[in-house]
Amino acid sequence: MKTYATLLLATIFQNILFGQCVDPGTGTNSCDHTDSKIILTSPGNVEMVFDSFSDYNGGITLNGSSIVRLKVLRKYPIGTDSCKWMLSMYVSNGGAPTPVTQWETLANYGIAGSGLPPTLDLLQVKVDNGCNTPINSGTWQNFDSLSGAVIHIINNAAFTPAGSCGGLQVNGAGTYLTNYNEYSFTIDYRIKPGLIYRPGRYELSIKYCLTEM
Amino acid sequence: MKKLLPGLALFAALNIALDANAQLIDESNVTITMDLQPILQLNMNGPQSIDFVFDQISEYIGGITQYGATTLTVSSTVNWDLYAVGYGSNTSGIIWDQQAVYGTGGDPNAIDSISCNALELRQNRNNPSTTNAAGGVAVDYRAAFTTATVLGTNSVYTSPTPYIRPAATEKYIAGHFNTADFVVGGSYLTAGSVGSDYYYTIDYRIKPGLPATFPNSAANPTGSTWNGLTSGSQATNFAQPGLYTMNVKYVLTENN
Repeated sequence: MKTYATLLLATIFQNILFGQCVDPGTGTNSCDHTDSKIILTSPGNVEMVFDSFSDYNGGITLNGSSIVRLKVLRKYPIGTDSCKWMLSMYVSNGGAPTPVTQWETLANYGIAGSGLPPTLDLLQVKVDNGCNTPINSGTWQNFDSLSGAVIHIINNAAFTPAGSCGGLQVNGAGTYLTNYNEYSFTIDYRIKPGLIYRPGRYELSIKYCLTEM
Repeated sequence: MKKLLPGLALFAALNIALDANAQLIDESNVTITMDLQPILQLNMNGPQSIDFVFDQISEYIGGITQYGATTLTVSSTVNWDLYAVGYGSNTSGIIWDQQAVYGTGGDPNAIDSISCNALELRQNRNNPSTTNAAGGVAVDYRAAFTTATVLGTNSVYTSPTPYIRPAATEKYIAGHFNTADFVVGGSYLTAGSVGSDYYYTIDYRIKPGLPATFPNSAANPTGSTWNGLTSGSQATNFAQPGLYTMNVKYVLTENN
């Protein structure tokens, strides 16, 4: 039993480290898993090139670089369903051999040993939409410096249907086509490295997860 | 092993069960790439050409000093060293280039090869990192200009190969030869400008003396050997009157 528990924990831990979506385990299979989806509008690779001192010191901000639009459909008729979802973003550095706190290094520039490898908490994100439904809407947030760290955009235990546009975390069935300001999210990215990091080319990935809860 | 197999089977079954009940609806990925390019930025403010015209006896004896003629400001994203190197374009690379001869130039005691070490520099603040500098008459150009003859203390470092960093025995403006001696990345823009390790003003002096032998001129490391003229003797020879030029290059380099 001890061995089993260890293996199970190892699997969960591995999922977290690789930035996999985590199922909260509270869903009731009330959402249509086939046709519900994330529509992500974003460049395939969000690239920030720091080639001037002002970039290093002042940072680079990419506003509205990613736009997440949701289509969450219910399985059952209106009034009888309990389709409820959460939206989260997970950061990942690709795993070993990269240390869990650092960006994956693609290339080093200059002389070895000069500066520190950048850590994952360097990346800042800001999420908002027209109805301010996200948690910390419009506020810059940092990931914890750990591959697999998560920032929840919507994580509401209470069922909150669309339509009020009152700053609540809407999490009922609906789509961006009918309630754009509650089912679309604009994500800004910012990195302000300062002058302590080793020059090089680094990478991480962010996974947007839409999960029934 | 017998105990382990049922455990593994149970583990696999539960994993399958977890997958079957997974509530994930959809996911999408974005890759973020950060390209941190190294920046070493040296700004030099001041005239591109600094003239020393010796047409008074007092100037030969006391020399001419150009205070604050050059201001150097640094911005860097990496640890760095800064040094000055004087050189000419002739074969040796370390004597002044004679551009014109005044008078007949017929005196055999008049020497046209003046060492680039005859140029003296003085920086406005101490080199902040010289722990491992070794053996030179000075580790930087901080010493004051004095009336006394002091061999080599302020003489500019000379080399025909300006991009090869000076040895541990030579003078640096900031940082030094050893990898443990450097100034950390930063900028005069954010570090306090004039009072920071990223901002230097440089004074220049040339003191020919009478006769014109440049009595302070000497090279590191010991600074004990006069070299104002590269041939002849200090007792009988002197610099041939004429127009001479040399180059001073300031090199900002990543610490290594």
